[in-house]
Parts: sequence; structure tokens; C-alpha cells
Amino acid sequence: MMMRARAYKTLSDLWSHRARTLIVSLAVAVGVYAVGALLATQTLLLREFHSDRNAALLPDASIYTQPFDAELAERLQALPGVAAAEARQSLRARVPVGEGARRSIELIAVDDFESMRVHRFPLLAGRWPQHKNEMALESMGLAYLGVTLGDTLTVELADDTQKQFRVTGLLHDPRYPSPEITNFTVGAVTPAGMAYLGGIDLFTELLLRVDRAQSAPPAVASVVASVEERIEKSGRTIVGRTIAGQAIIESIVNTSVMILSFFGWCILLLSAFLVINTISALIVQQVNQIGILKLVGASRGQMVSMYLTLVLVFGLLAFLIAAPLATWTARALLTHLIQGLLNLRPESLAVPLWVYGVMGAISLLIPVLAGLLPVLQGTRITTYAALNGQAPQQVGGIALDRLLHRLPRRWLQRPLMLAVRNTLRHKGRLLRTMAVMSLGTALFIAVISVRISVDATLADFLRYHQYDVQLQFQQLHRTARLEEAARSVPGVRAVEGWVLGSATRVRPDGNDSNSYQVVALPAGSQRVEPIVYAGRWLQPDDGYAVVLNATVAQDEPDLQIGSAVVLDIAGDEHPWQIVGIVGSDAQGPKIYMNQGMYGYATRSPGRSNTLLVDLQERVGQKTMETLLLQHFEKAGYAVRTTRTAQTLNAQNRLMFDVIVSFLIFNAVLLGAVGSLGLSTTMGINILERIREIGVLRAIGASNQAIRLIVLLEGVGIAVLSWGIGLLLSYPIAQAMSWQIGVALLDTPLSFTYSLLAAVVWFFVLLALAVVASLGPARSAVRLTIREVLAYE
Amino acid sequence: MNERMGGGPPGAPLIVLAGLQKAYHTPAGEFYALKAIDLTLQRGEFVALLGRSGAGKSTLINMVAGIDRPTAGEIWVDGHAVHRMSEGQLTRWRGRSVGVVFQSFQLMPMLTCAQNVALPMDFAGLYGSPRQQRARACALLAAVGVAEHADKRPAAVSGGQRQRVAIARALANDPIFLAADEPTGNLDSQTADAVFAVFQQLVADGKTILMATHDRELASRVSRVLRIEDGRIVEDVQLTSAAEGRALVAEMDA
Repeated sequence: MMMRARAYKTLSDLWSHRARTLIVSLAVAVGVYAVGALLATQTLLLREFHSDRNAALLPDASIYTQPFDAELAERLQALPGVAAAEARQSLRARVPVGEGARRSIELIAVDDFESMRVHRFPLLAGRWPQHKNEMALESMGLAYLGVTLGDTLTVELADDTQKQFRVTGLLHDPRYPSPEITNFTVGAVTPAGMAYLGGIDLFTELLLRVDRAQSAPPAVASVVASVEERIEKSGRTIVGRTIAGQAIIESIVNTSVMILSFFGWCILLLSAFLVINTISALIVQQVNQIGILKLVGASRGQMVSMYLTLVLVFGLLAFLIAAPLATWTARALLTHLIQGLLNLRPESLAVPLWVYGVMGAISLLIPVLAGLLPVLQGTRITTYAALNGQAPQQVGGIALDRLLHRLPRRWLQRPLMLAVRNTLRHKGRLLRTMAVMSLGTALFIAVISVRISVDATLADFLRYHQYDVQLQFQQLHRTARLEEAARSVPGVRAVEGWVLGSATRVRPDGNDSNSYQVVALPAGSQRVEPIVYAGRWLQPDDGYAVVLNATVAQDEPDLQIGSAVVLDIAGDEHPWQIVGIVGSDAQGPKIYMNQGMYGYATRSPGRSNTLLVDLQERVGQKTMETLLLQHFEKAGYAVRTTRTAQTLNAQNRLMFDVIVSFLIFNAVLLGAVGSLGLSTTMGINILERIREIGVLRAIGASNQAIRLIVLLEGVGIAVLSWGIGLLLSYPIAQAMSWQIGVALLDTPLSFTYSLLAAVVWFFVLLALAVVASLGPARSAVRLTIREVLAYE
Repeated sequence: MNERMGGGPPGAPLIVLAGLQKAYHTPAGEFYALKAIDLTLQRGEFVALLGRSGAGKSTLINMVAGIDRPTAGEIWVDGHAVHRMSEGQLTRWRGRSVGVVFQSFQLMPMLTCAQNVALPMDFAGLYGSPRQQRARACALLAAVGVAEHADKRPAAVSGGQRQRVAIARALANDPIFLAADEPTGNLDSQTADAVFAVFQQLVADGKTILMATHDRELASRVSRVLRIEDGRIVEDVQLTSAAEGRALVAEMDA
């Protein structure tokens, strides 16, 4: 079968300019890849996250009450609005992991592993525990506790008794991210196992799932109220309740998705501009050939279909390059980054077809749209104009040209004048290039600023933890005695005793809030440096006064400075005056009060359950944590938990890791799209002017002068775009750090603008401009004048 | 006259230009490249258009071939009102009815000579399958004496050979007339002679040719000489013999 002459032209356009075909396809592919990778990651993340959590049938609410049996749970399940109810009991314990270090574990007693109706753990390996000394461990707990399936691990209770459990199976609990972030893991035991741990084989927690059809928060609250009423009728007291809100893991996922989609759209826009520039420049270069085609009788339809075929091939190549890479990236991000941090178990890594559809549409549609306009313009001008390579005049240029004419001559030396004129020749392309680079600049600086703001925020969190080691005891002890015991350990410089308690807010309508942590600290404490958002910090002579952190203020929006909040502390209700609101420390809602007042209110004056230890320099926090733990245990104190400021900071940092990784990933993509935009535009500009360069040389311009003209043009575009980007970057960075902070922590990040990123990006752009300009300029300079003048 | 007389009677003139004007916009104001041209060309004429650079030769050729559009006046070719055609109609009409040859050849660099010649047939959908089109292209190339270069790219053949390819392409759809703008301008005199001989053969075969040139020696060998100056036809001479032509050219030189 013989090919038609015009088909051969299209084919030959592709094949005899293989380098150009590849560059244009790559330019399209970068955009398609960026959008595709972001969309695919976002889709996989959301789908697998939700399917993982939905499969686990997580409770809408948990009610804590006095011991009951599994039968009560079954009866409660019959209540209207209740989809499922199941009895559980849980316990926090420690697992020694060598060298005196201990890690926390939440042990959950399950009535019947085969018929879990709420908070159902999938069994990943092994089998469920059957005997009292068997346990199924969260799969990520293996590495955290340093055990393997079949090993025996030691569980240490509050009273220091130790029990041995054999790990018979691995379960998956999607409630929590990696134990490296939460600092504890989860294990499941039989009711007999719970009794073996010193509990009873009854249950104290009721997990509830309400009817999905009416699961709006008010409906959950009313279902919970009716269930509680029924429990109280059975003669048991309600000890507390938790209505499930947004877990930290959900915040991380939602924030990630927000970042991914925001950048997805930005990069789509930028790459669309890039593609439009590349394709339209390619076709503008072919105006002369369009003239020849018209000369020999090619109709508009015939030419449009020839060029669209050409452009579609670019698009197809781009799709073939970008689609597998995007899929691979999304899968790699999910399995290597997200899975480990978020404790996600993806069921499927299949990227949905519609994502490929979007990628296909971008890779085919945008080039076609970009190519259609110049082809139509080319077919509309007279054959004479096309043959003479007169590209259609663009609108909006006249005012600029006139302005240029009015500028005083001495401002514009001849090479500069030429550079400026050249730059302005294709205004549409210039505007798109500048839009790509300005937005790229702004977003790049913004991303790095957010990254720095994350660091600043992490540093701010530590202002609420101005200690090296914290020890929390099971019970209250005389503060003076605890402090004295700590001071006797070599390496300790200063020590402060606090009480960490809990309180619920009794709301005006009589409902209780979830439980909030109470931090009772000595007046003038050195171990906290609060950032006061509103009102003031605690003062030594404060009476019933509290300072809320931003998380509490967020949860209880009706609380105002100066108003009173009724707190239920250990069963004792009393109004406290709110004197200030301080920042969050990413450790949940906290209410700060003077320790003296807390001691008075709880009738435990002079007592603490927490020690904050400040170490001498050059003493390792980890070593001292172990030393202090051993010291206090030897002295007969039951230690509940210990932690160092370093591990706390590392935990907080891990929480941001996914977000920060996505930000960096986006910054790299933006950088790639922006620099590709500059390079291709410069390359195309110079290709178009090879003839002009020949004329310049023919009239005696030195190679140096030509390089200068070309260089000035590239650098000019780069510097101007950078300037615009710089102006945009501050508000964008501020808005992003506000958004990300609120989405992740309910409070804005501590915004810090990265001037360094602005400076570094300036030089990156400059270098790119020089490289992108000099390459084509050199090859143009190398051509002989005859070749150049003959160039078509 | 009707807008389309569709072919026109055999005795009717092939090309009629009436009050043809072409103005270009320049910063100094309107520049008239053509000022009220009235001209009639008969079938089978070989017309040379003489004049200095900028006299309006190329502009006139471009008007007649429908490559550029007049500012005022009428262009009738074979009964078609070329001045009223849209850009699309012009293109289709030109593809089938006019063969154009340029000084700078205007061949597609990525196509072989035969493919260049077959291209107008492809666009016009004439002469059958690609294979049949190629056969015709090769025959045309043979007719202009470059059959052996059919499968070479234009860059691989000499200037004279390229111009023959361009002529073969102009003949692809068997046009009513050929418009040639300085077809020998880029060629040495020997090659120019050979190319000119091709034109002479075409006229002998009944084609009509309008050729702009400033080669007076060549111009003396045609059947009619038009001299254009400053956008006006200032001389219009029918030549009956070569001697007459030489005399005319000598007179112009004076």
C-alpha cells in the first residue's frame, strides 16, 4: 500500500526532526505526568484510606461504664438508630524493649474474634489468640517492639508485674498512623487474657456504630444518649464517652489530598501554557510550508487534519511516556512513603481508568487546541503572506510597540533594543512563558516557605515542652520528694513537678465534652514558653483561672476570654475563668492552670504526677531517660510513661513527613515545568530568528554582540518573571501555610517566609536562562551567513 | 459577466484583468504596487512580464494566480471571478487550475521530488490512487527531464533540477495556465536556457504561460512582451518572430 504524499509529509515532519518530536512530546509529557501523578496519588490515597477504614467498621462513639457482659451489648444493638454495638475492654501497658527502655501498647480484649461487629481488625497473618497468654499484634508493632510472629513478649503493668504473651497473629488497626508517630502500638487478647493481666473478663467499653442513614453528629449524640439511658437503667454509671471526630490520620490524609489537588490544578495550568507555547511555535514555524500547501491547493480542512495528526502524535507519545511514569510514581509514593507512615494497607494499586482518561485528554486535547489556532490563522492569511512567512499579527501588541518607541533612545542601547523587540515579538507566547515562570517562582518559594514554616511550627510546639526528659507516674506523689529524688541523679540540672490530669467541660446544656488534658504547673514555670494568642498567660496570684490551648478553643467555639467554663475535675464541678488562649503543641486539647489551685480544687496540695527534667549539657536525653526510669523504679515509684523532648519532636516531625514530602515533590515538578517552559521558549525564539541572526552577522555584528542580544533576552524574561513571582509568593505562601496548618492542626502554621528560596530560585532561573539561550545562540552563530540566509 | 461562466467559449480570452489595483500599507501611507491594470490574455499565449525590481511584476503574477488579493478591480480567469473568491475557494481553484513556479522553487524539503509533484494531485483528489498519482508524477518529471531524480529530496538535486521539479509540480493537475515568477532568477544562464526550453515545449503543447522575468534574452523568445513600470503596463508588444523579439529587447535596453 502506497502512502499518500500528504501523509508522507506528516510522517516526515515527525521522523526527520526526531529531536524536535521528542522535545515537544516531552514538554507535553511533563505536564501530563505531573497532573497524572498527582491525580493518581490522590485517588489511590483517598480510595485505599477510606476502604481500609470502612472495612474496619470504626465506631461512631465509645461509652465507658461499669463492667458488663457481651449480652448487654447485644441487647443494646437492638435499640433504634444503633447499627452495631460491641463490648470491649482496653488497657495501656508497657513492653520492655531492652536496655531499660519501654514502649507502650494498647491491649484490647475482644469477646469473639470471629464475629466482630464494630472496630473489626483484619487478621493479616497467623491466627487469633485462643488462650489467655496469646495475643494478636498490630503488624507495625512488630518492628516497633522488636518481635516477630511466634515470639513471646513481656507486658509490664502499672504495678510492675510482668506477664508473658505469645504473638500468634498479626492484625491491622487502621485507627492510628505508624507507632513511630503515636508512640504506641495495639494488641488484641481474649477476655481471659485481660483477666490474666489483672482485669476481669467483663467489659467496660461499648463501641457503637449508628445507622449510616442518620449518622450526622446530632443523630449520633441522640443515639448515644438513648444507649446511655438504657445502660443506666441496668444499674451502671456512665464514666465517660468519646464521640468520634476527625482523627489525626484523617487530617493528614485530607491535607495531603488538598495539597495534591491544589498543585495538580496549578501544574495543569502551567503545563497547558507550556504545551500551547511549544505547539503554536512549532506551527508558526511552518507558516511557509502552509503557504506551499495552499499554493498547491490544500484546503483548510486538509491542512487542519494534517497538522492535527502531527499534534496528536506528539500527544500520543507524551501520553505513552507520562502515563506509566505517573502510575509508577503514585504507587511508589503510596507503598514507600504513605503506607508506612499512615499504617495503610492498600487492597489494590489499580489506578482508575478515569485518571488515564484525564491524562489522555490533557495529552491530546491541549496540544490540539494549542495547534488549532495557529493552523486556522495560517490558513486564513493569503498564500502570499504565508509563503513569505508572515505570521498572523497578534492583538494587543500595538500599545507595547508604541511604548517602546517612546522610550528615550539612550535608555535602550542597540543590542538591548533588539533584545527587547525580540522578546516582545510574540506577545502571547511571552505572556504565557512569563505566567508559567512567575507562577512557578511564586509556588516554589511558597512551597519552601511552608516547609520552613513547618520547622518553625515544630519549634513552637517545643515551647510547651521545655524539658529534656519527662516522667509521668501512675499516682500523685509529694512534689518535693519527687524533685529531690530526681536531683540526686547525676546529670540532672533542674527539675519541676507538674500534674497532668483530665477534665471535661460541663456545657451550658448539661452535656459533657470529651475529656481534655489538664496541665497544672507551678506559677512561673520555666518549662513552658507559651505563645499567647489572646488574653494572657497564667499569673502566680491567679485563682480559678485557666488558659486554653488553641485546640480546646477550636472544639469549644463559644468559650471567650473573660467568660467562665464549668470544668468537671475528678467529679468536682466548678466554674473557672478563661484568662487566655495559647498555641497548640500538636498533643491534643489542653487546659493550663496553676498547680496550687489544682491542688486546692482536688484536695491534693503539693503533689505531682509528672516530672520535667532539665539536663546538664553533653548528657544524652535517651541515656538519662533510661537512668531516671531505673532510678525511680528502684525507689519504688510506679512510672507510667517516659519521653524525651527529642522523641516528641521526632514524632511531630513524622506527622508532617507525608505533607512535607508532597510539598517537595510538587516543588520539584514546578521547577521542572518552569525551567522547561523557559528553555523551550528560548530555544524556539532563537530558532525563529536564525535568519535574523544571519542578517545581523552579514552587516557585521560580532558573535559576541549576537550572544549578548540573545542572552539579554533570556535573562530579561527570567528576571522579570522572578520579580512578579516574588510579589505573588508572599501572599500565596501565607495562605498555604494557613490552610495547611488549619487542615492539619486546626491552627495556622507559624508562618516563616523563605527569602533563601527566593534568592536560590533567582539564580536557578538565571542559570536556566543563560543555558537555554546560549545553546541555540551558539549553533546559530556557527552557521555560515549563506546557510543562515538560505534557512527556511 | 456572470460570476462563473465555467470554462468559457473556446474563442473567449483566458484571462481578463480590469482596473486592477494593489495597495500596500506602509508607514509613509498607501503604496500602490499596481495602478489600474487592464489586460487580456488569450489561450496559448506565452507572455513575458518585464520590468525592474519593484515595478509590480511579482504582484501582478500573484494576483492572477490567486496568491494575493487585489485592492480593487476584477480578475477573470477562464470565466471565474477570482477577485470574488474566498481564501478557501481560491486555494481549491488554484490547486486545480493554476500551476505556479517561483524563483525560490518552494518545494517541500521533506518530500521526494515525485512526492512533491504528487502533492497537488493528492489535495485535489485527482488521478486516482497514490500509486497512479506517482506514475503520473514520474511521467511529468520525465517530461521535464528529471525522471532519474524522482526519489531524491530537493536538497539532493541542483537548482535547475529543482526548478524542473517545481514545473512538473505546477503541471500536476493539468492547469489552464502557468504563472511563473522569475523562474530562472536563481539559475545560471545555461540552466536557465534549459528550463526555458521546457516552457517553450509546454506552450507548443498548448499551455498558456505568464512569466515575470528580467532576463531580456529570454523575454525576446516569447510570443508577447508586457513591460511594467511603476505599477502600470507601459508596453504591450506581440512578437511574431525571434528577430522581432531581439529588436524589441535591444530597443528597451537603449
